[in-house]
Amino acid sequence: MDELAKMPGIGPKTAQRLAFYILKIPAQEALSLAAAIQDVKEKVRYCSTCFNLTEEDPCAICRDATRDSATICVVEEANDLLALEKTNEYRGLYHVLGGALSPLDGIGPDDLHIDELLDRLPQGIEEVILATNPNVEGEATALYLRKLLKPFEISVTRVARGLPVGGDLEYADQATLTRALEDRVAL
Amino acid sequence: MLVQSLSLRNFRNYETLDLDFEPSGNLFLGANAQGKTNLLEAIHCFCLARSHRQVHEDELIRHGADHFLLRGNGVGGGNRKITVQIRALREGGRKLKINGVIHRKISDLIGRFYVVSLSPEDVKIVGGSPHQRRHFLNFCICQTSLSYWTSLLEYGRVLKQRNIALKSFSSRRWRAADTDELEAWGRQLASVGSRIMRKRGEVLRKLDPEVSLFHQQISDGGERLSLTYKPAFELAEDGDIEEQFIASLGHLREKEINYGMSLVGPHRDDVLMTVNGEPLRVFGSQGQQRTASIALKLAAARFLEKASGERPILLLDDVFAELDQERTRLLFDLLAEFGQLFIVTAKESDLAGGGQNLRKMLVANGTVTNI
Ligand SMILES: [Zn+2]
Repeated sequence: MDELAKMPGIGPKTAQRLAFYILKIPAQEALSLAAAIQDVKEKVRYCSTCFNLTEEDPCAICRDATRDSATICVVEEANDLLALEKTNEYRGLYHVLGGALSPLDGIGPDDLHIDELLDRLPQGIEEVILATNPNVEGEATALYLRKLLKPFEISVTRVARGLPVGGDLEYADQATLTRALEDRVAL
Repeated sequence: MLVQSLSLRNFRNYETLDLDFEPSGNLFLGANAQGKTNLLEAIHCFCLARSHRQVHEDELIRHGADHFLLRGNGVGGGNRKITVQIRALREGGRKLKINGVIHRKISDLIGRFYVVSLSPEDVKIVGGSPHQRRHFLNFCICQTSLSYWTSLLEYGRVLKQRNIALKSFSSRRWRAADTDELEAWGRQLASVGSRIMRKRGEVLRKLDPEVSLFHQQISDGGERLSLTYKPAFELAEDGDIEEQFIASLGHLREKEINYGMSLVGPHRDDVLMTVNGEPLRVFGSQGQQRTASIALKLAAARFLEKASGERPILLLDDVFAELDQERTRLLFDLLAEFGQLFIVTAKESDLAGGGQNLRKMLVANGTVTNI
């Protein structure tokens, strides 16, 4: 149960409920659940191009030739990418930073996949959309990237602040996300 | 705006207490250390979910209890009847119910009741550290502006992040990426900070004539009290605040890295108070500072009234004992222009004949009786 409670978003009460659920389901189902967890650990890795989670490298989005390969949308976590994908509005590529600048948590530029983003720019990238979270850390990260991207003479836009203050992209509803993508502003 | 009734459970020295109040005003009489001020504190807490004193929330819970509960009825903004319940747990966390509905954010209480409290402690706003004046201003603006409140929270977070970054830069060798990172945090400090500064300047310009007027009415009349916002960096009045903020961070870069902290911004700003051009903090007598602090609080009440069209609730904690009879009478004349009054005093004679229309209650040993 302690192991379950370690998972993000799972408190002691939910962990207890999960434990009871696992106790009640047939042994076969419990085993396939365990196998699924093992699968994730063995097969899922980061895409070496965009750092999305994937079973194959490069990931399905990076391999998809129908997508607009001149646009990169920069997000903090793979969850944010999933949230944007669900809107079906965005057809470009992504880049997952793996977090945001946060000195409080000891996270500086070197701890994010920023160099890898810069390496991708010469491959015909014309626009970078900064879709880091609309909170203090996400905003600082966007400002940092904006400065870094300036010499490359590409269009840099920031997803407009139509999102709830202090909120995460992950929790924004789809209508808000779609609006935010449309309203992005040139920096 | 009115508080009509209030029930206290495990609040300060009160285990169980149920009170109802007069719309015009209420007077709590009683010897010292009987819990009079705690009643004002309960009313303040009920209206704004926080004490008027700068205390730890824990201290509000009765010794030995694990929570306090305040519940009462009133008439809030827009002349709407309102029931509020606040439960604060010793282990942390507060639960707010408005008209029976649970509200996750305590800030949802903002704008329902406007409250201004006056106490002898207020001289600190005039004579104390800049922190006291910022606190006064913040408190005043937060009641009318949720976005200002959000900006303050956001600014606090940026400041914390930036200070930690500065500290870590100062403790190791400088790296190329540091310049850009510091600039990113600096730009954000300036962006949020300038929003706060702009709002403070705007509110101070509204407060200034009111303070001056009230001050003339309760002092001897010949003095002109005025307020000016004093940013920590040199600010040209016609220029853009954010740009000047960023420029000032540029000048201070070396110094900030050496100190490992942010040296300018609304967390370091001050309000300059002068009487006939002389800074009151340094040159004002105790009496002058007291009169000025009362003028400040009355101006705050008038500001809230103008912002909302509603008369705020006034809490007066033992302010008359420090004033002579003449000033007490002048103050009572002014108080008649405001909303519901809650007055605490040890001796009725301190009121110099004022407050005849107030409901009188005797506070002794944790009980309150109508007299
Ligand atoms: Zn990929």
